[in-house]
Amino acid sequence: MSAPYFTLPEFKYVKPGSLEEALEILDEHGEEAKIMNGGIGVVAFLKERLMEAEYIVDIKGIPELKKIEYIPGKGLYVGATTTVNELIEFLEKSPEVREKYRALYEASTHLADAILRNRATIVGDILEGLPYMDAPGPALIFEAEMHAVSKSGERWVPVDGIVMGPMMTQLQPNEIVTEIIFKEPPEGARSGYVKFASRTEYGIVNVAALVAHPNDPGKRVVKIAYTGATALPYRAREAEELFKKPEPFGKLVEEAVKVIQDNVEVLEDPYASADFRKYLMGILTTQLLVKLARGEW
Amino acid sequence: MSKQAFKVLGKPVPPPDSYEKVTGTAPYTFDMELPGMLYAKLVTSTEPHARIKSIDYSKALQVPGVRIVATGRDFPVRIGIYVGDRDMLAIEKALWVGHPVAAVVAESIKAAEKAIDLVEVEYDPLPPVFDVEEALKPDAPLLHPDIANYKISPAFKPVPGTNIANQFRMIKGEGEAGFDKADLVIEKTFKMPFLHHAYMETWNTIAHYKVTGDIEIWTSSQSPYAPRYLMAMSLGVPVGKIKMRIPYVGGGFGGKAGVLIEPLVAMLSKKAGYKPVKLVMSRAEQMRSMPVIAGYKAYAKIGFSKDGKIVAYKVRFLFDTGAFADYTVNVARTAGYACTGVYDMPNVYCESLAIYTNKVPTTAIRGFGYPENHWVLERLMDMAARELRMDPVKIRSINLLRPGDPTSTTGYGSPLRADAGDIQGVLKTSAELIEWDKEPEQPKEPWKIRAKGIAMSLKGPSQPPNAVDAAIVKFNEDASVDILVATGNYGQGTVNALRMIVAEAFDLPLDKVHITWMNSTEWMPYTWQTVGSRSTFTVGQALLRAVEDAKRQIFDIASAVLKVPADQLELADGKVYVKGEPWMSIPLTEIVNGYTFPNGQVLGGPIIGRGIHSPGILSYLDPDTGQALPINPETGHSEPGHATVFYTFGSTAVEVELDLLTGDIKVLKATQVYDIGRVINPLTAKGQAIGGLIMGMSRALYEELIFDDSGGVANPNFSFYYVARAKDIPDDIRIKFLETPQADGPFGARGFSENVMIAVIPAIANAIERATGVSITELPMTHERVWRAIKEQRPDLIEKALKAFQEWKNASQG
Ligand SMILES: Cc1cc2nc3c(=O)[nH]c(=O)nc-3n(C[C@H](O)[C@H](O)[C@H](O)COP(=O)(O)OP(=O)(O)OC[C@H]3O[C@@H](n4cnc5c(N)ncnc54)[C@H](O)[C@@H]3O)c2cc1C
Repeated sequence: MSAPYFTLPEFKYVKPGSLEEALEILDEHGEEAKIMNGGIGVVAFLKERLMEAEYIVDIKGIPELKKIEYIPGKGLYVGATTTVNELIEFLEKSPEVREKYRALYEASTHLADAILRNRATIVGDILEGLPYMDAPGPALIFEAEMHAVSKSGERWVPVDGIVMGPMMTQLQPNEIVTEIIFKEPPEGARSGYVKFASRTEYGIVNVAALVAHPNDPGKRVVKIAYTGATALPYRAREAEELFKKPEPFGKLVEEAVKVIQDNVEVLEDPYASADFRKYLMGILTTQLLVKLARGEW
Repeated sequence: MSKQAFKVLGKPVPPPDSYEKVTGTAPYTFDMELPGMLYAKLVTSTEPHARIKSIDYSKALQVPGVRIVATGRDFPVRIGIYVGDRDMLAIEKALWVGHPVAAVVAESIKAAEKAIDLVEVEYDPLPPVFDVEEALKPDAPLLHPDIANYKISPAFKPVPGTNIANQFRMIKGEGEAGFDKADLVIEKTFKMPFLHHAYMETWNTIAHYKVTGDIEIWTSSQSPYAPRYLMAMSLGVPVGKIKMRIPYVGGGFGGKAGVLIEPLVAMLSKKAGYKPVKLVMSRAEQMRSMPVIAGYKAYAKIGFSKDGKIVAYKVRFLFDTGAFADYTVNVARTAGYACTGVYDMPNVYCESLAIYTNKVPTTAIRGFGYPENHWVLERLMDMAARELRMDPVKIRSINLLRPGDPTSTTGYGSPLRADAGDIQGVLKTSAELIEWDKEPEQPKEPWKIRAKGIAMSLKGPSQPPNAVDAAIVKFNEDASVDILVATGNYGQGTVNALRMIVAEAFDLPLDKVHITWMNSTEWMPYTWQTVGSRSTFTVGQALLRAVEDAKRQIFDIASAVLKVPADQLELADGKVYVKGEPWMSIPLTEIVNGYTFPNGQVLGGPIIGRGIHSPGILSYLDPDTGQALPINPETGHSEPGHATVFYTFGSTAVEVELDLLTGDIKVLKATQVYDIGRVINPLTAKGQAIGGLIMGMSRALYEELIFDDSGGVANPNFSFYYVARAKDIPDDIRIKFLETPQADGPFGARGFSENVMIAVIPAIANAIERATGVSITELPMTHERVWRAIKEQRPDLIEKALKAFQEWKNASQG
């Protein structure tokens, strides 16, 4: 964010009223057309001249992309154009769902600020692909998947691995994500989110974690994911596996942290060195896991 | 006059502009459009230091709507207030990444933004220098080899043939030799980073160079006269031809003092065929291409006797001014002459250099050298307290300056006036408010520590000794008053305070005293500048004299009508009374445009009062010794010269919580204590104290401009240049104003609105030092910096914290 411009480069703005129409336009123009959701990322990238588009396809006019629905046993379905504030409002009105998706709720309330959240969407936040986004961590621990639709078909794409870099995803240019599902968390699970910001409004380390049955090795489930510390959202699968061992939770936390610190490739920038990020991942993960296990989060 | 006697002073009065600001109806330069207006946009350098070989803008001119492109060749003049080193567009050399090298003027901002990408600049790179110490080396690349030919204001001393834009030295007593007598000597190196002022409105200017030669300007400057004069001087146009108009301004913090981009926009207007031209800065342009706040490195050494008295002090400030030092030379000089802070020291050697580097240029800033020098000295006081096992309050108390005692003098050799303020009372009150003697309650996590810290501050306006001000009061037909002052209103509440002073002095209700939002050299009388916390004090005095002048005219008329001598009249409740005979009166409405007798004859005419402030007691400081030059007795003053018209004393104490595991510092409680002589408006005074606290905290903990490898600003936005936000503000802020009146202040008042941020910064680090023995000397105190400092200086603390953390974790097994 250092370009001098006030104005946007030229493009044609289209706002289709139906999914069919939108897919048609995308199919016709391929790479020349870019999807705009809340537009927070798209407008910033355009303004910075980091993105070019002949067509900007605003998907906010497609009615079925706006929805929030919780189906017990399956999960929480959030429409692609549902804003972060709409999600927060929904969760605040349904405390039971909120507690199931606590990490998502907490990450949402830490995401940008109240004004931006009126436009920003969860799907857009994940697909924007910058390292420090808040939505991807919770998406990983809830095994989220995006429903991608194109003229030639539809598919469910796991969020883990969908992003390849800023504004770069595994999606095809002619695919539109219509919704995202955050899967039903394991029975008895608690989750939480830590955003550790240092001199930026984004986190230098963000941790999302979920813990179920911490003291029952047979049923124990732990899921951990990071953003901010790593270039791409990082699910600590090896560490999660450790918790299957029949050992005390506290000891496993220590082992898990070590595995994470040994395996992860972290960012280094003027806001935090790689060392400090790794160290913080250890402290913050330990705090979050232990507190979740004790019911103190 | 006792406090109860006031009708207006001391009451919380919201500044009238607040209503327009919160409803979004206040017009700023950015909002203004003129018929036929054109829009300018800057092309900036991609090289940190380079000769400009060629600029090819033929393609830019082909963009539909583009009118002209200008380069440094078009206006090869330099501008500036103290050291005239700034160019309007790079003259032959680019001096930093972001340096404006050309300007496009077009019919729309869109066309201009398209065109800047088509301007091709060919550079011949020169070796750059980014570090002050490198820049001082004899073989360092020179940024300003022609400095000897620049316009330099008296009191400044660049060193031609070097990168030194100004050199200031001050020697008091035996200087360095004084260390011989010290029992304890502490030596430390301190650093402050480059900062951005973070005013909400960027620099914005509209200029219309007219065919008549008149130049009309609307600009986001702090006040109108300085930019007008500086512009006239550098462009060689008659000063009276320039009409400098200032609508609402979105904050300044010193960053809109002096001259901004007015001369450039005026010349673009002329070149574009005498059309009005607007140039507005995006945040990124503002932070990469326009002046920011200088960083520094300081080498300091302080000597104490066993009993805690300061014996000698030496400090060498190396201010990094970036590519232009224009206004920063005086920030650096002020840090030098005020290096002794609130303390009485027998032996002092202070040196302050302003040094050019190939980075974004710098300018004035709220606090103006005082946050800078207090960061050093107030930290050293706590380090000494720790070494000497003395209480930080006590070690301060025994070293404080003694107002009125001729043997207790500032670094530049002048004693403080007896009514300068209750310096001991400020310290005592601050300590009481934070409950200094009570141990803070410790949090339940053993890896967190709560601690209290304290610091003192003093601040006076840094102005040339001949900075003068005028004020006018004039009456409307309904006997309400218009105040005419060129004092800028950019959020401080000063003009509202001036209104309250006038209402009080005329004994008129507030709604009978009017101020206006548009400031201009055309109708407001001269004021040097609105900077340095000076305006309530200086312009306030000018206004009180204007009120006296108006009253004299009113009484002259009333005296003739009521047939009593003028000295037996008084003005109250909108009427002129005969003292002791209140039934003998004339309403002001019957006087303000002359008194009309029943036969239609009129006596006198419109009442207009004028008054001035002239700081007779100020003189230059000798740049080699830092001592004040003797005063001319012709001015009616006899005491030694002074550097400032007043000093205000202050103190901040804080309670902070430090997380040893993460380096996180939270300010839980803070005190703000200032002896401001008289609280004119408690609402805005409190506002300043809170705002200053937050700004100080923000500078202590978060703010820093980050430079990339080519010296360009890498975080020119508020996502990565973090400024404190609502969630960072402590819940518990304890503010107290002492009111020791200063005889010449309006109703005793002193200015204080910069002082409020100064002590905050060291107080936070002092709390950390006190609780952990970890000395932090570099700002900002980021998580990682704090964590590393603890790891280096007190590894045992981190180990202990980690151990406690392990225990806490393992307690969960079960
Ligand atoms: C000042 C500021 C502060 C911020 N702070 C934070 C913060 O603290 N934490 C944080 O996480 N984020 C933060 N952000 C980022 C912001 O939250 C994201 O930009 C926003 O959530 C993106 O969502 P959007 O709907 O606006 O997406 P858009 O900008 O519309 O789209 C983003 C990307 O996703 C693609 N896309 C979007 N929807 C679809 C779809 N349905 N199908 C296919 N592709 C799609 C777009 O093509 C584009 O590539 C901040 C942004 C700003 C400007």
